[in-house]
Amino acid sequence: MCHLGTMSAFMRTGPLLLIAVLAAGCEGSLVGPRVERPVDPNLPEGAPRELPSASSRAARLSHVEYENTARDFLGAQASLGITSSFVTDATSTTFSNNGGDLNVTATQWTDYQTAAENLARLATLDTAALTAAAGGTLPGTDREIIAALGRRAFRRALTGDELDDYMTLFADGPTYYATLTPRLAGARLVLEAMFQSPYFLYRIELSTQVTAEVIPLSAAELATRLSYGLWASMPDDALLRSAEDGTLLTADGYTAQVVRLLADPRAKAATQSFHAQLLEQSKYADITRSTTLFPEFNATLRESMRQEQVRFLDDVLFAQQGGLAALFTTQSTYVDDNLARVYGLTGTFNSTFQKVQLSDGKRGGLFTQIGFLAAHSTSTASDPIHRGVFLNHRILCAPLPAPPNNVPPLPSPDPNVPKTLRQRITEFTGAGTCGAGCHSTMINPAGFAFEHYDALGRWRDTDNNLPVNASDTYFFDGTARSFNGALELSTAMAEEQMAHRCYTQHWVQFLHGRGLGAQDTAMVNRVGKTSKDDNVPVTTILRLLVESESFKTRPAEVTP
Amino acid sequence: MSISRWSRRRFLQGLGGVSLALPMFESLWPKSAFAQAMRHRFLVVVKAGNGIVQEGSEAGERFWPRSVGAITINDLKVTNADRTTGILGDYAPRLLMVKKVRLPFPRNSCGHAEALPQVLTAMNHTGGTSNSPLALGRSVDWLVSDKLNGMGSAPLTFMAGPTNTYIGNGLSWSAPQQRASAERSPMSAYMRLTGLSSAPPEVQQLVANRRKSVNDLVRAQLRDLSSQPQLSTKDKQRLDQHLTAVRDMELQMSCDLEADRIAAVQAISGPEGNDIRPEVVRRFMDLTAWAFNCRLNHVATLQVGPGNDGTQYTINGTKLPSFHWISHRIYADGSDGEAIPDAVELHHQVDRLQIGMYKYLLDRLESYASPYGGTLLDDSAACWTNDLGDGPPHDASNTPWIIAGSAGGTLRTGQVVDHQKKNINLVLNTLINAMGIRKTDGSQTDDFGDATLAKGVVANSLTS
Repeated sequence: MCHLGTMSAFMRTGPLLLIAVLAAGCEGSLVGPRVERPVDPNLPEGAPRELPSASSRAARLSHVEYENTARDFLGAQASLGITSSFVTDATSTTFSNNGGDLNVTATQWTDYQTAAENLARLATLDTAALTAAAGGTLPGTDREIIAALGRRAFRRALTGDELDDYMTLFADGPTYYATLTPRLAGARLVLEAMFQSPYFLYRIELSTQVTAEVIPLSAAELATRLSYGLWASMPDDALLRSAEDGTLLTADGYTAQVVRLLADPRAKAATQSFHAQLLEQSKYADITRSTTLFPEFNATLRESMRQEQVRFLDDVLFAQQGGLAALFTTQSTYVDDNLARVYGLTGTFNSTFQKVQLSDGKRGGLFTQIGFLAAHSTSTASDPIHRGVFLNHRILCAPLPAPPNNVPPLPSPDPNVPKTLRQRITEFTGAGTCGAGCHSTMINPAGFAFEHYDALGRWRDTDNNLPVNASDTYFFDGTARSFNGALELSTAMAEEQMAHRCYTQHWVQFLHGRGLGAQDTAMVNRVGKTSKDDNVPVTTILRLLVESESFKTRPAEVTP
Repeated sequence: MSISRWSRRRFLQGLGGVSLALPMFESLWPKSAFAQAMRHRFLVVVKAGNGIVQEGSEAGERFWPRSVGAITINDLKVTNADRTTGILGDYAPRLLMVKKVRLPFPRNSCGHAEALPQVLTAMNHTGGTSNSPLALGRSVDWLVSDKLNGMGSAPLTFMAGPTNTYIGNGLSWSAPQQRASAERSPMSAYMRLTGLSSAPPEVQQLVANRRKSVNDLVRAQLRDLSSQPQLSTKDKQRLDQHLTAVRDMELQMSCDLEADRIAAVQAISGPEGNDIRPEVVRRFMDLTAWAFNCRLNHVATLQVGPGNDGTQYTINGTKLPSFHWISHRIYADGSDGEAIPDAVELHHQVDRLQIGMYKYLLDRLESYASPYGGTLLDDSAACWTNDLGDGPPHDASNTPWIIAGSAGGTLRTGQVVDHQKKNINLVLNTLINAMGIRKTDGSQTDDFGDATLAKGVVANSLTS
């Protein structure tokens, strides 16, 4: 299938692209044509190259990616909920899109089969639906229709053999769907097969040509990596076209696509998904409190907590184009009447969320929001240890070893000797105890900073009728920073390289859909430093990462 | 796309597609990916009631071979032809026979009702004076099903017997005090297993054919992709697992029960009736072997008759008195009544009928080829037991267990073991290990059942 548009772009590109497109032909190939080593436009002159880390060549789509892909393939306005009944993936990583660890069991396969049949049905309800599935224009011949569907399903042009196979299947369509027109029947059967194909279910990268010590991804592979990284979904037509006409492999063409993708609502959704997983937002749904102890609590508060975080992230990251420091320190948030009660705000509030300033010096950024605080508490008390562990692990990527086995519980309080929770924890885990190694310098300081917030996230000045002490010292990369309270700790984190490096590290994993590799360190350090020194927007962090050589290539050595 | 792939699809369609039997598939199907993936194992337990005629009762030994230790076909078929287990002669090298297995918990009221819940749970029961005490633990079939079928999947639970009876089904327990309902109609079970509902058969056939067409293509793509040399070993393994899942699915949807056996299932009218009981047992055995072969399920239990089986079996054209009466040696379910002439011989004849039915199950498992070589029986642990040791006095410290098949080479077969009245939990631990289920540290499972029971497995029963 040769589109005129493709040919026009073809004529505009240089000799390298001419070779590439000719090698690919009008029908595709599984292995991409040879391309030049992509250069990172942001790497300072003379800086050492940042080589790629190993990753799966067949990364299975996560359920989120599948859901988004199904939506976009059909041209639906909203998610179809088609993965809601899928068996849950047994993942142990921070993010659910670590595709090299995702398998297809018999149960999952059953889910895929059912979903494929449902999606194919929806895509062939009528000619309009099929047109949308084909990308907005329904070609004239059956073979061209198959090519159009396959291009979107496999994120690349089908090979000649694949077209032949699907043509055979297409011809059988009327046998199974006698009530449909032959074209819709054929397309339905073909789509059932495409949606169950490994080329749909996995992000396949088969390029092998080594150029300057790396394997540059083919244009189609790069388009797929980029769209699943920034959108958690399939490439749209413009991205596919840029891969087909070769502009995606040019520096300017690639940057143009990155900018375009980042401005799309799908990038917002993917960014929300990143933060929801990073911040363990799913825990909010399990929060329960006694309404005797916490009269502000009700079942709808859980969703209010989630909404607060979502709206805050949208505002800071996209409306304000803020960076990591803004996430940690912005002294505004979004509340409804539920949350306003917990915050102790005065004024008129209802179920509609509104932006409020938190200018009393008690709150600021993500970690003083109600959801985070309540989710990292016990049902009745603040939980400095787990708040501290979370910050060390997730926000600072501190080298915290696993806890020892059989950790005894905190001894019950002595009713005759009133103490704050901090005092009890310090006696049990602080300096001079067997837990001092991790607790006294890492876990406890980070957790104690939040002792002004109770189990629901309400502000308090006393604990057990004793004054709260939220001051401590944390060592950032060996440098001591003292603080008093969560806001000062958040500010310190925003000013230290450690959190920026950690945040960048998480994004590398999310954008690549893999775990962190040994080769990632240099890139993580560079982008993390840029994030801190230049206070760049988070969207810029994403752009820096996907424009890196590492993102556009695979390591040259054969993965064992 | 290779020509051979499409040729095979058209070939299958030409022959009627989905109704092709498995051996055809096996001969056409490259099995490397499947065979290298996780091995399928299967567990079935058939339980009869009322005890057997064996040593220790007034009747003397008429069930077991004359000696313990290694057994051969000749031992069973010639030396012990008069013993009930002689019927199983052809399978001697593939049998692990375990004598004198003790059900450890009290049977203060009705011996049947309190033995039954212990058989597959090795747990105590709720007791009382009720005729249906409840097991205080989950049974082994559910544990194994979780591992082999997937968490939350139910094992097959069959019973040949009436719904309304003094002691109903009670072999399978999905959770403590939760008796698993047994399917009593082979036809209903078949319908459920195939997913057939109200859709006409021709519609079902069409769906199966369509899915087969799609799967042929998907499977070929997976195989082609997996063969790409640049993929890592881990990627290949994941794609092989995917391929195995597709293959299993296709087997499930394409591997139908043989037409004559479907007809036999359909022919059963009134499956709870007395006179049809052995026929129902055999049909459930058909379904069990077929379900295993098609990977529809990996675990099944079959209870033959009610807890105190009152079936009037017909042997050599003669309809016998209630089997429960025979087991009491009198024309009564209690302890007082007129003596039944030749009751011991009649009991022995019912034993032979029961073991004959069990042999039918082994024959069915033996009829299916295994993708690993050998037959489906070799991949299975096909068990027969009785919840009582004998007729009078309904002892439960000497219940019989016969296990056929090595469960993929994990069971040490070709022997008779005297369990010396050790507890049932050791047998169940052996079966759990045979299914490849070990403790998290990789050591043998030895702790199924009540925590107060001595841990372990049947001596010399496992190969590793």
